[in-house]
Amino acid sequence: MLPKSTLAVAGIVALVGAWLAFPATAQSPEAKKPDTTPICANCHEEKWRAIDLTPHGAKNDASGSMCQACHGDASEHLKDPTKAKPANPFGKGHTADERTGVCLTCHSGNRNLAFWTSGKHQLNEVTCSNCHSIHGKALAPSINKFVTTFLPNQAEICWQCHQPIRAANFKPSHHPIIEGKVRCTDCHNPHGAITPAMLKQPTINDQCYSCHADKRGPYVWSHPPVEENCATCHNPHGSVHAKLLNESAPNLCQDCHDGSRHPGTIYGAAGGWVCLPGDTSSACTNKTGQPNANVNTRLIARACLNCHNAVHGSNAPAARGKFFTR
Amino acid sequence: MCRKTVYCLIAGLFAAAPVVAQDAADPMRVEGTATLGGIYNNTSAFDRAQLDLYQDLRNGALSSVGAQGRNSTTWFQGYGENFGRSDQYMFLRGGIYDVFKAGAYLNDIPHNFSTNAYSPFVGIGSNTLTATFPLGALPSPQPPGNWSNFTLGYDRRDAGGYAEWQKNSPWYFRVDGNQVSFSGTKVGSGANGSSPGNGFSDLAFPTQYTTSNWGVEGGYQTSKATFAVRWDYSQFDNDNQTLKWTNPFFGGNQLDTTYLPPNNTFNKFTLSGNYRDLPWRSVISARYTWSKTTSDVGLGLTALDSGGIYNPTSPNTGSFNGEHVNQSLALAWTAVPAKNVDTRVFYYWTKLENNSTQVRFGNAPNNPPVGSMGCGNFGNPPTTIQGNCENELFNYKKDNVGFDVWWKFMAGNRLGFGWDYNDLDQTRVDYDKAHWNRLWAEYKNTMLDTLSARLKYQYINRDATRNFTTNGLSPNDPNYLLAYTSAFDMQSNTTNLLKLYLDWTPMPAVGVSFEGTWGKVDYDDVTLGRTSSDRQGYFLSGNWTPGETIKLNAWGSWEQAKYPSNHRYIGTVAGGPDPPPGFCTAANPNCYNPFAPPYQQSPGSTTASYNWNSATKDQTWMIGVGGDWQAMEKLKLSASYLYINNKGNATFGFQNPIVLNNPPVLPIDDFDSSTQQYFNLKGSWAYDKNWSFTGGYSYGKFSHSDIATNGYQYVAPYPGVASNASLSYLNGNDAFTNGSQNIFYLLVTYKFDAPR
Repeated sequence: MLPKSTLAVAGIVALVGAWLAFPATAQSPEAKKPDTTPICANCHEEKWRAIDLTPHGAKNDASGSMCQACHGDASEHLKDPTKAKPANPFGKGHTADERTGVCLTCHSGNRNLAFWTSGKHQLNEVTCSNCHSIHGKALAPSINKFVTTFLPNQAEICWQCHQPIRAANFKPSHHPIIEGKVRCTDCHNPHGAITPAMLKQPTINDQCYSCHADKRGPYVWSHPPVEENCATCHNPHGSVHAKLLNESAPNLCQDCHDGSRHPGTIYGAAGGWVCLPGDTSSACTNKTGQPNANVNTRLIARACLNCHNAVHGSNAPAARGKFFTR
Repeated sequence: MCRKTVYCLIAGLFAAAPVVAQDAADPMRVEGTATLGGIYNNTSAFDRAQLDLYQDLRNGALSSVGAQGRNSTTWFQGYGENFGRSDQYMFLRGGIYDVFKAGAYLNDIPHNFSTNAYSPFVGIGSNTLTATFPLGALPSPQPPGNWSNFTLGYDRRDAGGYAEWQKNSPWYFRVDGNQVSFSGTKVGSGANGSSPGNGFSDLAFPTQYTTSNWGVEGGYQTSKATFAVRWDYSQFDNDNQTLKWTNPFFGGNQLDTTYLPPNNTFNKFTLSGNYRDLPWRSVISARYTWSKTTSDVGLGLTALDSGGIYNPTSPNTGSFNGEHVNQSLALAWTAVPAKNVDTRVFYYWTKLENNSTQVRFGNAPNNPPVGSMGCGNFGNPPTTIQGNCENELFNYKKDNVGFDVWWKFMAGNRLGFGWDYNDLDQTRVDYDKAHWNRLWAEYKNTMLDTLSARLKYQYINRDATRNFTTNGLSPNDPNYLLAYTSAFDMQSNTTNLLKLYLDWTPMPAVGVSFEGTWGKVDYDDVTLGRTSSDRQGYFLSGNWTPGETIKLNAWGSWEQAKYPSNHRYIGTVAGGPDPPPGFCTAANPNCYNPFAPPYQQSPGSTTASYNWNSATKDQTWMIGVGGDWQAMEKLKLSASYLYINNKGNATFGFQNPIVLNNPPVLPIDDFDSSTQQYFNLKGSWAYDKNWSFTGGYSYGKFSHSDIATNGYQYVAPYPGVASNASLSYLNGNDAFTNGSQNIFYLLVTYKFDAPR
């Protein structure tokens, strides 16, 4: 029995294939309108080729009406190409609204832009052409580790403005953004959203649960800061600490949890695996560099999480669940 | 399985073939590429997890195929890469313009936590891990050759698709779905006993998850208004909701139980829309969501306890029915009420309603929890009956209202300011109310053609109500301390944040960008807990195109984060019955009063109570340079280098005249310190307009130094004594990730363009 995912993909592919075959099997006897190369291509062939096989190219015609829809009227330019260049609303001297307005002339009815005016990008005068180049503008040389993907990385566009996010993405603990497996748009809608941070989902937790469904619970024993906001403990863009944590355990946990005995204990370096210089304890006197017989299980490995592993919630009974040890 | 999926998708491409054979008046024009090559990876690392993060870097074939085409009515686009590898990716989409579109995809992501893990347990990957304790021989030297050796990690596969009908524009209808499956193991552990001194065991949690998601959406979209209704359904299934494992502490090699994520079901309805073309160029936007998440689990009636016996947990119900109802409402009105003035007014409301089962374990005083099943004391002292364990159902409601105003008061000068107010009501034992105001102002100057600058300041003032007080409590009572313990996610605080952005083009073909961030959160009235959060970062990037054939790019940053905090240590406490368990001893009265003088029975004794403080700090800097050079008409060279360094540490202080010498308090010099280095060199030679060859070399190096893993052993303490029931057993996760890798690759690409 084939796995469900294979069957699902096969089914959808077959459907797509069948629908793509419709035009071949159900053609009208009338000749379809043939593609026509716009006159602009005579001089701007490279620019035309970049859009030829895209929807922008499909909407074009011999007079280059699609080209002119974006770049302005070219009738004078066609009479003498060396003079009277089209107005080009993407150039300097045009406001962000004017540049965006070119695209919105056609795309304002696109539901993915429904919340454009509410979004941070529009309010900060980011325009469509800041991110999109339908003629395929070359990106800056990539600076990254070796990646197996041949595709350009969407994040390189976002990093042009969001430099702190780039720095976070390269930290040792990160979502697979630099590997090209997760995109900024998997969580954010750069075209505008009425959720803070332009998240696609209504809350931070909903956004995280859309991939991390195992954290949805509901659990018998919940950890309220977890249920209220994943970002209390995690930085989704990247961190120097394991599991995208903002701070290393045990210190992260002790910033909320104090009390008698082990929650309120100092976990200094003398509890590490190895006897350190200056450790005058009985276990480490004259044993610098040797294994520490007094190693502290609340500091080593995953610290508090060694025992309190179910920190996102637990269904274990009684004290085992309430204290997240099972 | 992956090969079959590949065949399915390639078959789909062939299914599209009839489209190609159309009449000459409207041909399908297609362009495409195909790349095939190989990768050789020489990695030197005991654990490759960090070097191979999220990628399949094994020796073997690299490949990609891509094609796109269209005629005047129909289009398609397909792509796939790294077929047969554990990070393969492919998609196929197409449609008829203004009629419909559909697509499917598959995305595999390997997640390796340790490629060379060890465990004394057998049955890795299953829901039962067994071992016989005490172990016959303990690891000496490392690694433990007689333990199970395995890869701790899982493969994640996301496969899905969509279909959208557009012919009845402006109405549209869409269905989409995907299935995400996890297969493997993930990082986990369990406390061996009920006290922190009883040790712990690293456990490979079986991870066989399947999440099936479906969505149906219909709506109306025009330039004047949009409206949409959507239903989302998600089912999360976990093949292993419990993990049984031999507990080395409780005795008798009995099986303990760890509870893993439950199956859950998620339903969500979304209504959204907007309306434009109102006076003042206004746009009104709104979205309402309602969702319900449910889970149902049977409650454990017993739990392993001392002596290897299973003590009753005495729940008041046999099962737990979890139910969370989430709602949200977002409203926004944007307008241009005057020339060069942009405004936005918004309201945001979210609510979590927790209708889950209220569960009580134990029925004190008649039937109190036994063994180590209880939670605290029942009633008031001097009673020492174990208290019941009752879950707390967390609910919240948040309101957020505010406005933004942007005013271009002069050409090239823009001023922005805004305010918003947040109100939070929640059922949480420590804080149940909070509200905060946020004010911000920003100035942007673009008067110069070559320089733009932006300066932003933000101020937040949060006021939270803490529920705990000391009223009616003695400072000998553990609960007395709760009034002085702050939780930083809720504590009242003041935030100041300053950001500076500069974009400068000093000459044509040169661009420089700078961003500086400084932010500080000061937590108010903190006795114990985080006192502040201090972050600053400086980010610089530049690009230079000295000629048509060369592009250069560089970026770098330096960041620092500091988290100082205050704490209290209370050592030996009473064991009961008088004083009651957990209360201060007669020798150390008022131990829970953080303002009481420090006490220590004798110099170096752990029978003490005193205040101490800590400060963790992370400093991270990175620098990267890259360049592309069209060395010859047919030869392009690319190179890049990236270096990332983090230094983390923690310092400590404590009250005088406390003496701590066994062990002493030593600062932590390496708290997740790490370095990463990556070098890439690549050359591409275009043999002709169709064929090209690419070869390259990559070097990567990772090193990690952390107090938690430096000097790591597989048992703790080391050397272990097999008969010590409080020994901890570890698997090596995150401990041996230092290493380097040299990668060589060679690729051949065939490309064809669509005919003109």
